Amino acid sequence: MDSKQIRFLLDQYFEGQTTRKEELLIRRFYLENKNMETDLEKFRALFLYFNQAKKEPFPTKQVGYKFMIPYAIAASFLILGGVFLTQKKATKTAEESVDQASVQKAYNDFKSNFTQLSKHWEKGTASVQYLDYWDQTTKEFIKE
Amino acid sequence: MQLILKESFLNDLPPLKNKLFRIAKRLLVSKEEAEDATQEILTKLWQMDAHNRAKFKNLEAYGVTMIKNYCLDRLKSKQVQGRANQEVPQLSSGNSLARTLDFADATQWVSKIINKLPEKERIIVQLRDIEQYSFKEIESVVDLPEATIRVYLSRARKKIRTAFLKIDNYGL
Repeated sequence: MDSKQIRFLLDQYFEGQTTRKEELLIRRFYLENKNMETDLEKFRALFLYFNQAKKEPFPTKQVGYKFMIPYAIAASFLILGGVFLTQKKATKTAEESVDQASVQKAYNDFKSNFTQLSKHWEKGTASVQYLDYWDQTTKEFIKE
Repeated sequence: MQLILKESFLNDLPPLKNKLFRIAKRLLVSKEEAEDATQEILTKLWQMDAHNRAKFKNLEAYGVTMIKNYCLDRLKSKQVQGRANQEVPQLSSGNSLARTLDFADATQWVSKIINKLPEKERIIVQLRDIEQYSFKEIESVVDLPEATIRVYLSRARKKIRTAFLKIDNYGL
């Protein structure tokens, strides 16, 4: 595609007289060529913009997932710590009298960690459940 | 039959959602409002399907028309226009647009130029130049004859051209 042809197509383009095929040719010209005469170069940004704008997606909100990460890390450490503590205590039980309070504390920590974890777990599944709901309702439609 | 329709709805959904969002954003300018509009129309499309399956055939054209009307109503009732007519930013000095700006700046600038166009021209540019619709498809959305669409399109493209040439003539 030479400059002369592109200039002709550009004129047609601004008149609203180009076909989709011709518009694609213009676009491809700008995408594939880096060096061109200044009068053509002027409109480079326009066609590159068109090409890019078509790819803009609906913004995805990954809040649920990203929000969970620090909690998940903290929770896993606490669980590990909890398991470690309870085991240590457990071995002690055999030898000497148990510190009931700290065992209880470790158990409580462990429990609250899991509640915390499961709470945030559910956040992620909410949207999946919504999909299920969709699926269900469609199935009902189909049955009718 | 219905199974196929259902599958096609779920398969077409992500691209349709993206497309509706882009069109809404072109008209409403605000990203958040465009998101809301998209969700609203998708919900409406989904609910409608139970009563109105015949229209399921051309879901995309239907959705696009719905979101266009929805956005225009929003603009009318809320007069968000003020926001759409925001000032086009001045560019710093250099030789040509493509050289002066990095790509992200340039595309943002182009987007703002398009957002300054009147609503009708804006939606037609969006459908034709970005979504690459045929004139037949645009006709069904904007409910205007092809000749009129071409007039709007040409007018819009020439305004964009003027904006581009202005930069160069001022020797920016």
